[in-house]
Amino acid sequence: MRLSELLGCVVVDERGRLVGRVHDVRLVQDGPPIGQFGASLRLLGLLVGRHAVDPEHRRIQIAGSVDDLGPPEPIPRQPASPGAVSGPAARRR
Amino acid sequence: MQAAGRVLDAGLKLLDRQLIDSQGMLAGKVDDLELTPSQDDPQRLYVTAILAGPGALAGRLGGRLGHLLERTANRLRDSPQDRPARVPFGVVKQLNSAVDLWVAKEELETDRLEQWARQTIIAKLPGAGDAPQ
Repeated sequence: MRLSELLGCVVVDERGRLVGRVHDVRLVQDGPPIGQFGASLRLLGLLVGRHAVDPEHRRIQIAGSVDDLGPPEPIPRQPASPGAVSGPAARRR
Repeated sequence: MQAAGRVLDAGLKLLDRQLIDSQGMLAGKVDDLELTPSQDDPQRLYVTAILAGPGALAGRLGGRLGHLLERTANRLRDSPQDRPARVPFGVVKQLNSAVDLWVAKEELETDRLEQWARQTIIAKLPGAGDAPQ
């Protein structure tokens, strides 16, 4: 199986209710050793969002109900680098 | 060797990253990942290889463009197998902003298209025999 087969899939719960679309997959490095890389990467879960869902797209059905899923995770933000500061303070230099 | 137990998002931290071979040469990009079910538990999927090249990218593009790209890549490939270039995950040294490999570019399947172009097109050009490597 390829990662691209999962990305973009529509996810529905066992009652056919829409959960969202697969935006990314989360991996954890806890599998059996693979060559010189060390522990292999295991698929931990699907990162699903509701943005731009195409109902005609490939589907993944999950066990359980959409109501049982936890709240959305906050999107991690990178701290702004000093060079990215704009506005009067930056222009004064 | 990578720290065991770390968590990463494949699309964010792996896809489209540059592959760097053991000599520091560019060796393609991560266009897709091969996921293989565990023999003990088929529900568990492990990343077993990096797929690179136009054949792998076609799967992500989808539609007519993806189909056309995949067909073209398959035609250019010497191998009878219709699959994209595969880099086993066992040769991955570390994952940073790029993916460092333990092996040289020439040992990778990702180098096939370049080799094919060198042998089939460039070698037949007038004066190609004098060209520096």
